[in-house]
Amino acid sequence: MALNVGDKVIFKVFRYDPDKDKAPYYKDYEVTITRKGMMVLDGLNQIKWEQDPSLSYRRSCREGVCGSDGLNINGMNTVSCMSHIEDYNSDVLVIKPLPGFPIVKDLVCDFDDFFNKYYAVKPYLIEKTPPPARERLQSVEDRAKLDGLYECILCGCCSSACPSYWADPDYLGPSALINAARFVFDTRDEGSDERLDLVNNIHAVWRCHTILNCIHACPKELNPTKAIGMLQKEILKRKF
Amino acid sequence: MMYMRGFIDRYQGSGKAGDLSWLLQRVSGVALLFLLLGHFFIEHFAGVPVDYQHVAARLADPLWKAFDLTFVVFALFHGINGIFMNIEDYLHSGWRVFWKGFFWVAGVLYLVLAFITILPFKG
Repeated sequence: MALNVGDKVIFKVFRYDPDKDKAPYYKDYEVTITRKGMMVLDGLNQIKWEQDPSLSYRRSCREGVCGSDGLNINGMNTVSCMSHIEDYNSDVLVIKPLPGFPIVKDLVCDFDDFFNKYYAVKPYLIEKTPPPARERLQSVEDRAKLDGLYECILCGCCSSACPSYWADPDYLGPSALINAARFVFDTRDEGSDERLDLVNNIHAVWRCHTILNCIHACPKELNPTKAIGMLQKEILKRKF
Repeated sequence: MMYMRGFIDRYQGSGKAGDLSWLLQRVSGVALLFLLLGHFFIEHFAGVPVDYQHVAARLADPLWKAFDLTFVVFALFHGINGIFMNIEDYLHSGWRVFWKGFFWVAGVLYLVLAFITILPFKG
């Protein structure tokens, strides 16, 4: 569906203010297409700046790098700054906060638990040998092994799409695990033993049932399920 | 993981990490592919009539006893281990202890029943 300048699209936005509202509700806003290729985030900005300043949502860089604006748009988790309004082929866009996360207000979710799980896998370079005089070098081939792992922007779309993550409150989730894999398979890192020990847990890699929602949800087109599989294989290889 | 050490985690049995049950689920799955298909073929497509006489004659053979016992052990493990995974997914209260215990007991009883049925069978 091609949208032209002047066309209108209805945004059905999830609203909830715990201080005022007894229950969440949806509010319809009319967004006017002001230029070709408008993103969903542009529509939300239009609502906030021109129609209803009480609407809350997170955004920052508006170019798919900061990972602030993970939302559920017409049933799919994605970041609103990377989603063209016209790609949804619909006059109505239902916009909800990420499922499975506690809601703070409107489209703003509580990410505390998500980030605690991210910090739990030690997502930083662990070094045991003293650094060389210049930087730690890595061959082009070894660096290429990290493609598809390092690009994660921590938007929460994958974990929020995962039924195992909804069901088990202790499950680390695809996002934390792909970030664990990013360091385990980094040749410069020397902490993979302790990191694998952490994720070799009933609430970590073995909780993944390859439902594959995380791959579908990831706006950066990464494959967390494959990363979890790599971790499982690495754990079994070192143990048996 | 310090923040994960909940009350209920103490009741998860000795294979805490879950790697062994994950691996054995795959091993038993592959084994069942052959055992189950073999069983199916022999019972329904091999042309031997399925009546007491023929089944009893086969079950009296020690090799077939071994086949059937392997089959029952892998099938029981695969099924109950799968139920455990569901329990661990969805139950986070004391009910987890109850249901895991229930299926442990049911599984062991079924295994004993299978062994005392198959092993002494003479035809």
